[in-house]
Amino acid sequence: MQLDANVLTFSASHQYLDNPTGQPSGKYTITVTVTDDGSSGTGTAQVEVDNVAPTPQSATTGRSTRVALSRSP
Amino acid sequence: MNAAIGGQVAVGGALTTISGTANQFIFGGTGVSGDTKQLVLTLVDPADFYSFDVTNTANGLRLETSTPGDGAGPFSNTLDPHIDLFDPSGNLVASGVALADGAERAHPVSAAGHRHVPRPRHRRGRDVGEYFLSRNFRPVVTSLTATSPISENDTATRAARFSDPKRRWNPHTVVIDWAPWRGHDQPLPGRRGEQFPAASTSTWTTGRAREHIPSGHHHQQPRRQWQRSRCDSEQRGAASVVLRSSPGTINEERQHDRERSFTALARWTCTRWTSAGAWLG
Repeated sequence: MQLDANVLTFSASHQYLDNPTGQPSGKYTITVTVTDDGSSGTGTAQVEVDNVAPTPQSATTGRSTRVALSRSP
Repeated sequence: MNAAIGGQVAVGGALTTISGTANQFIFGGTGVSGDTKQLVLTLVDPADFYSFDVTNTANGLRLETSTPGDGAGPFSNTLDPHIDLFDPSGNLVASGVALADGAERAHPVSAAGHRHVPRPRHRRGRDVGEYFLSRNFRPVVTSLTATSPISENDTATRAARFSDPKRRWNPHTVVIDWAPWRGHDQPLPGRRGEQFPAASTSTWTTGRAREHIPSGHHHQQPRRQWQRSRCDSEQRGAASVVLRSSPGTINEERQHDRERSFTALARWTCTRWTSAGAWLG
């Protein structure tokens, strides 16, 4: 990401498709590095990504029952 | 009269070789008490002095010199400047370190404080030439916020602010590492026994990758030879890139996801990628 002179703020987005492995409410550490003509500064922050349990999308009753499940990625 | 160290000056027929930075006596004694000193030359250190104020101590100071023409070019510039940094009281704060760039000598100095004085000083025998002196401050990330927690498959937005005293002149480059583990969910492509075409390789740093094994394969116990993977969505570059992992075998068990480490030579940020290899089992 390139910032023009005199611009000191920025934002960015990222989609987390999954929670950290084995951690239903795990955290990812994000590192931001700002570079200016050979000099750089870094900052870190964490985002918690929670697992979402799979839920039934449809169900019918009768002799033959079909259940469709959606799996969390 | 203006002469460099190592040069000679002649006054009234006397020949004196200027050496060092101490006072030079011409037509006089050499320090014996009572000698008559008819001419005394007071020499100065062949250095340039600059001063400026440093008001924000949070941003580290960086000074750098470069010399044009000291590589292959139309003119020769053998100047080899050196930087000393002093505080307002004259105390040495830091000295520059030569960079091994071959063509230019650069001497970065990092320090923070109030009103430092950089002092490019030419080394003996190389006191004539041109040099550039640049001053820069290290940007500092002052705030980094985001909405948290989020659920998987949601999007996290980061907002950040940083400080830089030279913000009005310097553009900045921002690189965001969203964590070494991207949490992508890419089913294994192809069928058992299928050989995926090899792709060109690139260089990468050590990282981790993960495959998601579809549930339908849980009881088939396949073995898969992992050779390389292609990154379909790379955030830092415009083109698709290739990850080359250490060749190995992944034995599928009950777990859905498999992680595998790989070793390479450069950084990567990949959000979606496709495996390439062959089913063996």
